[in-house]
Amino acid sequence: MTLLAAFQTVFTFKMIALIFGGSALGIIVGALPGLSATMGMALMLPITFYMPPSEGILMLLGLYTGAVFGGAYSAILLNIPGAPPSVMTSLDGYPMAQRGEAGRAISLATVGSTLGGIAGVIALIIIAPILARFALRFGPAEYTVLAVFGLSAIVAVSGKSLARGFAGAALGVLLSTVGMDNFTNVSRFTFGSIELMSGINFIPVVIGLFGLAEVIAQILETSKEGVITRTINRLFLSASDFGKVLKGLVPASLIGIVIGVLPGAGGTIASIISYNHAMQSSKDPEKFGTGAPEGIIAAETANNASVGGAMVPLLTLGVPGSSPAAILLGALLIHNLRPGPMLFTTQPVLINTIFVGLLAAQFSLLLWGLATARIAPWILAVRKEMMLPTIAVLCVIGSFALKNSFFDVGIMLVSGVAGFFLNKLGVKPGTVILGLILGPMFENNLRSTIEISGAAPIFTSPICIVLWVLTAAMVLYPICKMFRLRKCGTE
Amino acid sequence: MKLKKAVAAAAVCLAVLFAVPALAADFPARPVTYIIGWATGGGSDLVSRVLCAEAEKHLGQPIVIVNKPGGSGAKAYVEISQAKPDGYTIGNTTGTISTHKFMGVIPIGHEAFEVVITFNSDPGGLWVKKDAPWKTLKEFVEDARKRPGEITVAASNPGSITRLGLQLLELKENVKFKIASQSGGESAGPSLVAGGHVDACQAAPVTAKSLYDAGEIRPLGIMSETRVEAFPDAPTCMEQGYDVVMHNARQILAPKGTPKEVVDKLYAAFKAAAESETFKKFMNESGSMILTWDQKQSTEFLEKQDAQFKELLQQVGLYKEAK
Repeated sequence: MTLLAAFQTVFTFKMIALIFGGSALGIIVGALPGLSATMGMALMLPITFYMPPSEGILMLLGLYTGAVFGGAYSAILLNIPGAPPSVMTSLDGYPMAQRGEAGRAISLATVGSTLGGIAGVIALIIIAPILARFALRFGPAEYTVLAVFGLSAIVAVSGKSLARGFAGAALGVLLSTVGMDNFTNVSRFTFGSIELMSGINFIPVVIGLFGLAEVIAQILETSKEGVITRTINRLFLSASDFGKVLKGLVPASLIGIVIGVLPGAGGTIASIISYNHAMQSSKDPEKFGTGAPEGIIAAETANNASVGGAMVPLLTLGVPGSSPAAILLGALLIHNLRPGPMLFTTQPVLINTIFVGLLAAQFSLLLWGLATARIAPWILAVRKEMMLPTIAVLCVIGSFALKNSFFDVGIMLVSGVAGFFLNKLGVKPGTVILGLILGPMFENNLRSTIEISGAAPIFTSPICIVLWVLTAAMVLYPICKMFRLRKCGTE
Repeated sequence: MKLKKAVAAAAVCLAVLFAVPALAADFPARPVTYIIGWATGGGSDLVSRVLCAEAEKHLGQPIVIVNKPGGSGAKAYVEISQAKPDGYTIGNTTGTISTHKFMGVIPIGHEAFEVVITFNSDPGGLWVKKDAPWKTLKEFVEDARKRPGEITVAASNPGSITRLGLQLLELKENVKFKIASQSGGESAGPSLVAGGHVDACQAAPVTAKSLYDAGEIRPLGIMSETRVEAFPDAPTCMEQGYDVVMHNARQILAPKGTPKEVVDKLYAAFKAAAESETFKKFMNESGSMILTWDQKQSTEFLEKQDAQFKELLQQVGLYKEAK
């Protein structure tokens, strides 16, 4: 009955317009490097104070969903992940676009995101309370091992040389140690700078390593023949691509949902783990990183599935697991609605409206994504001498917008130059980002575990044991496979 | 001809003479910039956005919010202190306005500003799991006395207001907890308590409210003089006989030398905003305390806070003169 009422609330012209408008805005915010879901939502927050709660919340949910997806555009077209969760999308999306299949890449990202998002919402509707209890069982020890599990993706993003991959990740971890140490209050590598006290933010580093480095490489590349204009002309995916999406859907959605539920993780880590899984379980892992459709699907499906997951602790326990969730919490609070178990009994219609609205937001991705899959690639037809300066300007604006800080612009510039040389040396920038994201998660949780009870729980807690097994499988499986292949080859 | 020149000169002089007071009287003639020294989506950010959306109506000009996170507000404090003292650049504080200068982070504190208003405080609090063995703060403290360094309590990094609140209890009662630092600040504490990873956590009511409402955790003592409105059942430490008070209050700052008239106008607008229905609803649902202290009351509070934090930081060995 309440579900029917919720459908009636959502399927009015105004509500649908708010959700679809919100998601369009979200896609733009997500696609522009440096502008994040959090920022877009924070700017819209005051407007929602003066709207009825369901309208305001659904607009923000549309924006959130759109922003998580929007990063894929710039990742695919420009090699700049527009938002952190699309870092992994650029690994295969950009090479595919360079082959002249930008439209195909966007369609894959769109369909993957939509289906992943729907899976996330369904999980939210059906098993939210169970998942919430599961999230509480994650303490510092569990997060420590989760970080190790994530780091096993170094193998996936290293490219040809594993040694260079580890070097890149080590560089990332080293950069992540800059800043005020949370445990001793000692400033590490800050050289007395207030800017460095809060550490090196990874977004300007991402923009530099991926975006600016690519601009520098293209400027120096003299013999580049013409521009890429060939785009896919079909409106929907080919049957074989759609089959790949369906094949990747289940594992990527599960990873996205589970990681999304954890307050200490989120879409970025979900897409890292999902990408790693897809590559390790693939028959030809060497195609990953060169424009494999499976890579795009794994990353985009998982990060959108994590949106539904992230709503679980927020709605069932009132614990915002991420910054966008914290803003949604604010939007609910202003209307005297505090998420938690009580909200399910006192406001069943509103809860169901959120569910249905979130579902509608996923379909809005499908509409916007497919509508633009044929138009967006024409950006690549712009002449190089106009395109490259534009991207460079976007890199500067994007890194400045994050914290209104010229210091971050400097970080982006340094990262850009460094990224150019790292590429020359065969070190994939993705490995540096991995170290930068997962390093602090590992360090902080490890030290926290030791402060609480010594290192023992890292090896004895059931969740940790499961994660260790998964990590071992991720690392050992490709080795076994290689061994088997070799045996086949000699026979 | 000469006369004309003299009249013109006199007119210019007059204009200059009246220009400055006229500027203050016209305030605000253009949008006001509000600098938040914390990231978008954080506690200071949300509270400020709700407050500013209301204050705009009373000020008659838009308030443009700019986030400049860095060093727990340090970067924003420095920037506000160096802005033109005309009231068009303001920003908010937390308790770090008193700790930074005693920990060697930046050499300035509240005395380098005109304090417009104190609009909110989030006092410290001690929380345990719903089925924890301790029913009262007394049982908890006495147990800690028997087993020094064994009860685990989650708190933020050393030198944070959250951590100092817990250490104040330790020092006053001469007990010792095993304090576990949380990298994400105090927000992770209540989840760790609910999940059974630690015995207790130090967190402001605003942080603990969700899991408190969900029945997962319960308060042992709140570190304010009076009970927090949104938590009528949560006893204060004081009413249980423990003289432990620890506020983390937010002020709005303007650069030193901002005309009194302008500060008064800002105070009036932000006071009205803090008393608005929207803000009250938001703060009550969040579990946060609203205050409306003017410049004089705020300065008195900040001087007391300075003395308290200075002494505490000396006792826990974190005191450092700023260069």
